[in-house]
Amino acid sequence: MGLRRFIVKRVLLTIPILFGVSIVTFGMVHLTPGDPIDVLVSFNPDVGPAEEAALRERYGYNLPVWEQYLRWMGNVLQGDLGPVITRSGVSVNDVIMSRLPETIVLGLFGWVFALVIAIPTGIYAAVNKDELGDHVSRFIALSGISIPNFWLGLMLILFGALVFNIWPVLPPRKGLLSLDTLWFLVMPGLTIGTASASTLMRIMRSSMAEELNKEYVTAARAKGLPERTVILKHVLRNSLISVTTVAAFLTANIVAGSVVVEVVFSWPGLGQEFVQAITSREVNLILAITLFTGVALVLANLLADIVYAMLDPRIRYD
Amino acid sequence: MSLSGCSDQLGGDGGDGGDGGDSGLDPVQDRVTVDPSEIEEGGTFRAAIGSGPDTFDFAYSSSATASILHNLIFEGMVTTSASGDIYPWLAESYEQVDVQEASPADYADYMTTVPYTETEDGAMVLDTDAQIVLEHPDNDPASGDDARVLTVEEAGDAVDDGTYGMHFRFDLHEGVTFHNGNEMTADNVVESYERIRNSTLSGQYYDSMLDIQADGDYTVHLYVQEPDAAAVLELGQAPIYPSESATLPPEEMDPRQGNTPMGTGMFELDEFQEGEYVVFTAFDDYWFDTEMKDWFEGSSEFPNGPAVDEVDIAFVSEDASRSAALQEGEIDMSYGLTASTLNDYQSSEDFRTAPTDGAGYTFLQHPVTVEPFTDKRIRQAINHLIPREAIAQNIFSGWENPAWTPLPPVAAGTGTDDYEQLVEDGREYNELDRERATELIEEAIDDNGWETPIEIQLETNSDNDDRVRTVELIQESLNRSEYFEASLETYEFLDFIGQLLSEEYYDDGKFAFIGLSGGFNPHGYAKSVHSQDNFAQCCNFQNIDDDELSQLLRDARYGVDVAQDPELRQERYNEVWERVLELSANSYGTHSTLVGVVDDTVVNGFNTYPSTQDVIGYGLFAPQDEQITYLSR
Repeated sequence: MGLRRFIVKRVLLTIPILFGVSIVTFGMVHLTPGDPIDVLVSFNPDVGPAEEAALRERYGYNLPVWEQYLRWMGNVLQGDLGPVITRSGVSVNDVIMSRLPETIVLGLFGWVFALVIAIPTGIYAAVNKDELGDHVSRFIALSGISIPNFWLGLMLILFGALVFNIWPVLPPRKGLLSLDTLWFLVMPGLTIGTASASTLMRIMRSSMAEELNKEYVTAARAKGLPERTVILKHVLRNSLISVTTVAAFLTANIVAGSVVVEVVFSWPGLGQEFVQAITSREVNLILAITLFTGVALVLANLLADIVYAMLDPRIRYD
Repeated sequence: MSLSGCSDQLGGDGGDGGDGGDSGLDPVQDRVTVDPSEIEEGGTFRAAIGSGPDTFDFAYSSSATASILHNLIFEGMVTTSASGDIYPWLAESYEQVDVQEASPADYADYMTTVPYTETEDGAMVLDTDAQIVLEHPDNDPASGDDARVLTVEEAGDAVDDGTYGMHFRFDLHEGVTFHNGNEMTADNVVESYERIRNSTLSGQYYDSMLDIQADGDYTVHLYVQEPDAAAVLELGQAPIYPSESATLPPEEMDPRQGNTPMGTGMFELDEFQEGEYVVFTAFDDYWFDTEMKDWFEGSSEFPNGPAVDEVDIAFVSEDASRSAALQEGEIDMSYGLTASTLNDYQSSEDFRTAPTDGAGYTFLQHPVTVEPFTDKRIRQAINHLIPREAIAQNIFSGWENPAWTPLPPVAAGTGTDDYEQLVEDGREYNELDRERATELIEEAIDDNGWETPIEIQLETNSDNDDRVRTVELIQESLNRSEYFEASLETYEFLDFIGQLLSEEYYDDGKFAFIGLSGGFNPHGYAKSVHSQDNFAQCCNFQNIDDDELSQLLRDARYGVDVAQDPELRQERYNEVWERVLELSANSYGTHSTLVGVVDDTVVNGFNTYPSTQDVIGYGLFAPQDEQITYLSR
């Protein structure tokens, strides 16, 4: 099977996956007690049963769950993700469109940090296996994996903003790509990228150490190739295959991490919206962000497969 | 009244004049004042609040944080001081023209019939889109007959025929301009009140409002269903909008709908970024002048509007981030910080904590219909085992006060004639007293033969650390008694509220611990947690039903006598509190304290309002308390 056909097949496979995700999410959200109408009612004891019934009818919460799902899915297929009931005049489409760029930029920052830290450190650790640098990098990697995002974020605010006055606490109100905003993103980017960097670092180190023991490396060295060429041109490329695979899965870490990181750094992205949506039982918003996350993960895996093929042309897609 | 964390509309108490009053205690602790001659004009006051508004459309909002923003833009015919005293505001004066006995049945001749319909949940509701003012007391959904109701369409006819409980006349200031440049008239007032019809707030207003009518350009007549001592501030603070705002479709007075919210307030909405921040600028044509107000007794140099040019409010959900932004100088004021954080600020020279007695309390509601808690001696024993002082000191570091009485000090003005005595009397019921608790339990057990230890399941919401720690302390105290075996379950806030508001909760024999916030009106502090009207709503979760207390409550607020005699009303409320404590259906934990924290190097004169809903507007400009904030920057 050619790469193009493989991509088409994977994209088509995405459709039932997303349907599955939507059904599971819809079911789970409806299994938990409460909906946005409950939020409106419980926060306002003057709303009586008649007003509550009218609200439920208006937003379709009086219907059986399966009917609510079909109605919702029908709207989604027409590009309408529904209203945000607890916010006047705001639709889920508005929220996704306005918050998505922030989350993407934050995620990219996380990725950049993860890669910039993980690959050189992983190479260094593999080349200097069982030496001091390797032990230090292992210690740092384990710490990075173990430290919770919210704690790391708060520590960065404490030291980066309060003690050393290097960064502001609140996001600048300038364009997303302004220098001030990009500078601010260093802190949340570092926070969100740390756990992924640590994992990638260990994978890079193991993969590279394994490659370094292979015969083609010995042959390359025997041919008199400079060590730098052996490492960067031959070993690194082969090592990246496993790193790429893992990196795709770590996209989930970054997406999940954005929830906590955006709250800690007051970054107005989808993660912060997700937390608010859960608090206020905004079913439409929860479903939309979950679905969007599902799409992002599927695309990340697809991208990983493509990069995989580019790195190793021997791979066939059967 | 509402559950803590929900919108708390500060209601007030009836006043019998149009020139303010001085009945309440000042809840602001260590109030700071400024010398008007030293006030520096200009600058941007920067603050952070926990979330953005649900809507700028006041009548459709149920968010306490949204009220903070509403109060910068909108104003009503009357306003209150921090102690709950009423002052005419957009109204130059108001008077109680008439008060007479009237009950819902007296409106029978003006009522129309409306059929019932059954909801999905099996509840019978009225099948009409009309705004109902009141229902006939004989209506019975189970009878199969249609209901008799008075709607807003017929309320005017009743008033014209002299059927009403109270009549107030408000004379408006002339020359008050809206943000769109138009002058405010009586018609604007009527249109603004009409916007409340069928809105989120309609239940709150039509609980007592009957009708409102314009009389010329600057006079408004407000009619109340029955004599209600709390009518003026329950009804008189509704925001007044220009016609182009008042006539917008429901929920559309919001920048997200392309409409700028407009009122007569000291600030205009300048910029709103959903989920991020909002900026207000001072209204150049603000109408207020201290010389227009007879009640103003301050310096002639006191400004006629806020000293700051701009208010910039960021939406920051994380407490720690708000605190860090304050420390870093990115904002000038924050509130709602944890007790330990407040201790740090209190010991800092660069910041000032501004504590004010808040409008609320935490309470433990007993399952009064489940044995052995049907016996009030058991409930009183539990009450004596609640370590209120330890809770206030150990958990809230002294920022909150033990609730010796159900009445928070902000509502003391009309809720009692002697608050100190009330507190003293309350101690007898509420003090930690293990010996007395043992006596009460042993008496009850001897009489009924119940087995010990008695199991107690305490429940609260998990997303409030201080609250969970409070209940842990109560649990520990109960478990030190050989007669009780207490356990604790916590739930996410909305899950917990969902359980509490169900009609089955009271049957489970569980103890609910939660918070209640209210206002200056003492009524709700007793009614909300005891009345059958509030069963399966906020906040009678345990189906508490005490006829004597219900009657005492009615007598304290409704009736010609209490509407005309504030002292009689205070005496009646004294009887209410005594009955509440005797009944012991609820045990009160602590009275809330609202603490604003400001950057003391920049902010001068800031004091905190007792409720979050006006925590910024009041601090910036409230001439009724000679309150103003200016910046040295």
